[in-house]
Amino acid sequence: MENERYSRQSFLGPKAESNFLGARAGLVGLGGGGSHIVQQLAYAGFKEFVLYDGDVGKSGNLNRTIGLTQNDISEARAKVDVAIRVIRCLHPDARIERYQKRWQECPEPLRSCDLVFGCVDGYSERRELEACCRRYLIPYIDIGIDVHEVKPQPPVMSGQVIASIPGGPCMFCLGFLTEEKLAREAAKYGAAGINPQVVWANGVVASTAVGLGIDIVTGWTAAKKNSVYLMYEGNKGEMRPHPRLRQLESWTECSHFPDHLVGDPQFKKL
Amino acid sequence: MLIQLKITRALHDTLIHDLERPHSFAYERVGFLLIKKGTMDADTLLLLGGEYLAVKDENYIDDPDVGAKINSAAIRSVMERAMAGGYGIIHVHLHDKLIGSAFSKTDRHEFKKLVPSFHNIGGGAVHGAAVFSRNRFTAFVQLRKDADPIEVSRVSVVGYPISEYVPERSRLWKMKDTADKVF
Repeated sequence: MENERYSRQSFLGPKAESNFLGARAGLVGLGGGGSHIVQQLAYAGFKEFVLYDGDVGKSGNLNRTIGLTQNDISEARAKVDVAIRVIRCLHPDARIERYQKRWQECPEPLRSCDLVFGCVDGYSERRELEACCRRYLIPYIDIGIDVHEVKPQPPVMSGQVIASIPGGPCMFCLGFLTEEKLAREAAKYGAAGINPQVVWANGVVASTAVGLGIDIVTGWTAAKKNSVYLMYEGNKGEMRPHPRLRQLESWTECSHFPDHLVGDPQFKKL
Repeated sequence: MLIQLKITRALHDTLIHDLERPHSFAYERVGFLLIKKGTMDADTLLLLGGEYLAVKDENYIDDPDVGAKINSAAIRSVMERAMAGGYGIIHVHLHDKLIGSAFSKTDRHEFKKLVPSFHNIGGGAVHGAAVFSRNRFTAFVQLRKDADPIEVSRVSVVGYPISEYVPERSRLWKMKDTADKVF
């Protein structure tokens, strides 16, 4: 049955199934973006997950959180448990570590992951996640959607899918994270704000992220990259490489996460 | 205990490129991968490659009885770097595909003396040795100077894509064995 189950994705290579079985995926944030990713990874064949989300489902999430039901809202079900239910419907034997909390409160399990997907709000959350993944040499895939209203023009929907690969350009190198953005966010006491969110846009960036994750684990496209930075133009329905990548033609090394800054932080005597 | 070693694609390629270079008289080159520890859980130790230190050409000793022999200056150099950077040391070299990645008799004999000596730099770092051959590896670490070597179970090269070396079983030794056994 297993052979038949994955027969339509045999083009991923003969080792793909075993690669998925052996790969541990970490997901931080199981809302509009993360819920799509969890579902797709499970369908693709991933069976090991480390899941972080401290929230319970609310009615405002019902327009986009995959797997969340009206009944879950009534029962104040945790988003992490909705994700587990989605996984277990496909893989009753999946190995899942469940953390209904912020990942910073329990970071050790995240370090055991082969891939981490960040589906979080705010720049500082992303910075912290990327920093952890760089320290423990884990490819980090970040997604996000934003909608700006600049009246009288129609709203502008945009998003990003970024793969931050240890040894390659980080989100600072790519210009996605900047000290200015972090400072502005900090000035609002760290509040990322309530961003407009819709299921189809989340699905586009989430699916793209899953595709990158599967390529990282299987190598099926034979592409070798040191980073990926895709921009989503929601109004046009287009996903394409970000223009900032052209500025990286002369990039040689990441000054934000030097190679020697790996492993557990160490205290040095002054 | 499960031990996993991870290095970036860039660091891995630097290491392989250096070790594949011919030397004027040594049959093979050796180098040192400098590593740091990552805490995961009580049953797993994560080792992360931070730097690669090549051995300078002039620090090889011409000894036709072994594949490569290096002088004390090379050892001192890596120990100083490891101490300054808070690193552990993994002695690395390549075997060609005919030999495979299992440790040779000479490897085992030398590692039993060399790796414990790395612990003299203190700091609680983990030290060991690894051999790579095409896509296969054999590696071990010592958690303390007097501890028995423990096999590294997984070596991952982290990049886009991730690649894994296939482990090759190799006989290790007990530190308390005083007889110079032939393995």
